[in-house]
Amino acid sequence: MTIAMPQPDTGVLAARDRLIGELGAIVPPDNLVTDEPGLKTYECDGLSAYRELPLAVVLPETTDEVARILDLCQRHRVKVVPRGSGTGLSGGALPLKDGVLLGLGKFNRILDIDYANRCVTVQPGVTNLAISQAVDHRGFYYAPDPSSQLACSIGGNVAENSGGVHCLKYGVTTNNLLGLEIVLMSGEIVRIGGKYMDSDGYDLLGIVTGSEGLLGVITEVTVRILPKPASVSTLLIGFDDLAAAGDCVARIIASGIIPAGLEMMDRAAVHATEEFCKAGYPLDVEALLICELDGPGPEVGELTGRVEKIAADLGARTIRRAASEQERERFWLGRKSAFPAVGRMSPDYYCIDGTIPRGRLAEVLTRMEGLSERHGLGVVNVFHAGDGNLHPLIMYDIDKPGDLEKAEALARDILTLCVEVGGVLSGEHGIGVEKRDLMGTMFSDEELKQQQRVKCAFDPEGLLNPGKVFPVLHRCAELGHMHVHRGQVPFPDLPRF
Amino acid sequence: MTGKTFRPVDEKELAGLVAWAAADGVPLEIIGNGSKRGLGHAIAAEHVIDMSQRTGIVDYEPAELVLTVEAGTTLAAIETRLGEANQ
Repeated sequence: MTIAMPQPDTGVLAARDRLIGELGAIVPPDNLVTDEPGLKTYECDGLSAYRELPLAVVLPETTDEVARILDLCQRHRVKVVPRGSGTGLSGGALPLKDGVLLGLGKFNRILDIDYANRCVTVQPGVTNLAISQAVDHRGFYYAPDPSSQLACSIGGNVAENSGGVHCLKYGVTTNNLLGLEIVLMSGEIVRIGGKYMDSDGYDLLGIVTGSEGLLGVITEVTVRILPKPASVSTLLIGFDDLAAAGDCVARIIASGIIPAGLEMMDRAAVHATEEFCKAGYPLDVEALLICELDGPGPEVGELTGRVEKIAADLGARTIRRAASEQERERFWLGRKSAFPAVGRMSPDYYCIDGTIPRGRLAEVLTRMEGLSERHGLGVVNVFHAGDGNLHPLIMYDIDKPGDLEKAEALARDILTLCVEVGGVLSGEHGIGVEKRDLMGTMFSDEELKQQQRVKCAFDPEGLLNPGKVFPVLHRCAELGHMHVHRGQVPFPDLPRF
Repeated sequence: MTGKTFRPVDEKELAGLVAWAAADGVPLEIIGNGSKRGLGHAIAAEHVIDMSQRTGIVDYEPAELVLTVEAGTTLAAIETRLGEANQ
């Protein structure tokens, strides 16, 4: 572990057996994991470079059980880390040695499908894809589609405000969410929003969405569903240089066209995936775009022609329009196989997530090449170009001493570059532990304290998922009346990571 | 309404007004063009801050899908400008 986490509470560690006894009075024995092999299953999430065994894993099945567990933990001042499917890429569900891991995998039922109001209410452990599958026969789907949609849970999607290939046109999780039931650290059950848009009062739904398990535990989710588009058209566009590809992305958007998806792969990614799955990609290009347009047939036909013209005007080397559903699937096959393809080239890879203004794509990719050379690790780029959301894959070997540290340093440099050009630290993976210590590159101390005051309103004891998101753990009492006396920061003993 | 209506010309003046009102505990009503002012109960405020003169497009980048406007800008003006870029 190369990342600092809050100092474990020795009193809590010593009282483990008593806590396990009390948790056992809330959930059946099968839903409480305390043996080491069992705990190991939960030692990390999708950011597998960081691991820790939790104090215990509890797998409640009802909201009432969640409320009783949180109330118990608050009374004993025990930290709690919520977890959905554990596919998150920023370490949001990384366990704490002195914390209870609260797994929501058993909350796996679809509660209500309401076609008249175009919404679905589910428990948080239901997978993203399962929602679309449940309404597929009626021609509907749930729009946000993270690449882990087969496995990731909708509760985790809400916690991380997840995106996906199609969020360029249809928005990320927050744009498709209508209501939540959450349980606060105090055990209080709160309902926010419902089967309607724009609920009354302050936008609590917006605050909770993307709060990375720091404000409450999500126990029910109501999402919007959309009718599937009448037609889809997919283009494969290859360019000789990155700048032209970046220009093409900017021009498509600037001309008023919002594709359903607009993805870019660099030369390394094109070659890696072509070798892996033979999608038929052109190998003589520096950048490859996949542009997908959807909607009513005539509109899609018209817009596809306009995108082809923009690409041709910019000197595209390849412009191919999928002539059949099979060909469309082949276009996507390479993009969707990019991660496993890179996984075959390198023993380990570290997928990072930053977002930049579209107009700076070529510049950032070029500077990233320089950073990659300087740190001596290869980088492959496969990303959501349409919304400027980069996913550089850093290739390293965890068994090689010093390689992980090199990968972390390169990731820090790339993310700092994203912020420097006017972008942000995260597009859709969240901050978690991964980007926690970089928050200072984006926010001033006062801005971070203001964000922490929101946290304090929900969880004054700071027991829910501490050590994530915030680089300095302030006590809430101190934030209530913060004074800097003659330039001296009070409470010099606070844990700072 | 016995109070005054203030039309701040910049952020500094606005900040000064709000700071003064907050220090003296004076309630303020903040309005734009007041098109929905007739709905609901009247606001029990001493003075009005009228933002309707604060209009104009500060920054518009069609390729970034980002528009920054002054608070009093009308939706009609925004739509006209976006329409020029098919947005």
